[in-house]
Amino acid sequence: MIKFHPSERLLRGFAAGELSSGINLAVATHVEYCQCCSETVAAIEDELAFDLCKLDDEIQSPFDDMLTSILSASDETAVLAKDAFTTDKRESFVQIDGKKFKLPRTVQRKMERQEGQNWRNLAGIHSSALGDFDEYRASLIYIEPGVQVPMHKHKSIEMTVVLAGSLSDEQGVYKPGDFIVLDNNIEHSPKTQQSQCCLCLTVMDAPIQFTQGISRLLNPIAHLLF
Amino acid sequence: MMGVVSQDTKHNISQHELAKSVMVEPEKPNDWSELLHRVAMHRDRRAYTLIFNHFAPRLKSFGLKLLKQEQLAMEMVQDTMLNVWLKSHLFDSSKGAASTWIYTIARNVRYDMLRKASHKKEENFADDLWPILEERSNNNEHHAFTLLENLLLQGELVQFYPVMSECQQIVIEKVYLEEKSQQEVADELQIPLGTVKSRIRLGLGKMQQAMEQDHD
Ligand SMILES: [Zn+2]
Repeated sequence: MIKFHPSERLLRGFAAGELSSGINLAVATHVEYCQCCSETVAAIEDELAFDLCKLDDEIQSPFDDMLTSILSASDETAVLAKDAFTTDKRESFVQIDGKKFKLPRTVQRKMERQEGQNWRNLAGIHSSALGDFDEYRASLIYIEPGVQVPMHKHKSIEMTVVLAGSLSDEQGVYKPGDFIVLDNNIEHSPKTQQSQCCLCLTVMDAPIQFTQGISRLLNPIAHLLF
Repeated sequence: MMGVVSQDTKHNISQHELAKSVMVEPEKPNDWSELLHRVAMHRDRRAYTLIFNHFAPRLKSFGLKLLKQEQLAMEMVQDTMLNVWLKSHLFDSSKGAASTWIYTIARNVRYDMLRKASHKKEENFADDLWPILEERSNNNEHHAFTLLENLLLQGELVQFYPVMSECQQIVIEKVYLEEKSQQEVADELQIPLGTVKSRIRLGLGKMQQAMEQDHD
């Protein structure tokens, strides 16, 4: 069962298509997994469509030409597009640490475009960058079983969606689909259990800072994770 | 021009005006679904024209708010309404209102236009975020099992295997645990690929059900 969900404000921004690209990616991934939030988004989309129908239609524009050109678009175009899609059966898996995972649709194409995943490993924490999304960077993070990520703090915000396995921190245990938001007020040190790894999607906007004694020496991890 | 129009040469009215004159704009949301359905089934130009006349100007107002420029807003309207014309067969009235479907297409088109305008090199396409126009008919099934498949891949669902029939179990073990492709399994068992797919789907469905009951 998914226990941690994005706020309604985020779901609204998502339905309106007005979130920053990186945040959109994290929310979309959760929504793909979460029946409950996907129903909420659908309800918000209904409201937004209702607003659309109430909009002013008095803008006088030459729409006749547009209508004519659309109606003359041949049906063959439609058929061709249909074929192109149906033959495209994407099954995207990622392999790491001898394990195989299925990726959510939201990141499948990004992984395919990358041609070979570029995993970097430090102290049992592996990361593979998916790219920069506006001011955010998205990565897949794989944490080996029995690994504690040193206590750290975020410069501003980090969003994580658990994709497989589980992860826990001071706030609780996170299972697949769970959506975790951390801002710069929260220090945390997530860990995996002895027998359980964790794969997650992480979107963050600045290198994290390690806050406790010796783990300050782990600064490289901050750059690995970002 | 349609045959009907060309008979009426003395008035020489456009399709646009013709549709306006012979049919009244629908009042209820259901009517938009009905019109969209007629476009999908019969390529009904008159039904499409009614939809177009209602939505095009409103979509333009919608587009202008974020895109700012008249030309970009018109481009968004054109792209959205072309999708409505060419992909009306993808609209499923059991999943939601026609106006919502059209709104989501416009939102996606606008999102991609904004991304393009900002010259960002990253590729976060609207289709990846909101799969409105996916052609796969089993779109939902395809992704509904991702969480379950990951448990399966990690060998964590063994206790639920007995809920599947023996032939489902064999196919699922081969595909997920022996990492064979669906085609390889079909060849090996000498059954059609479609049968492999449906056994996987039914087997995963049974395990999903068993797992949900287990949680209750
Ligand atoms: Zn949710």
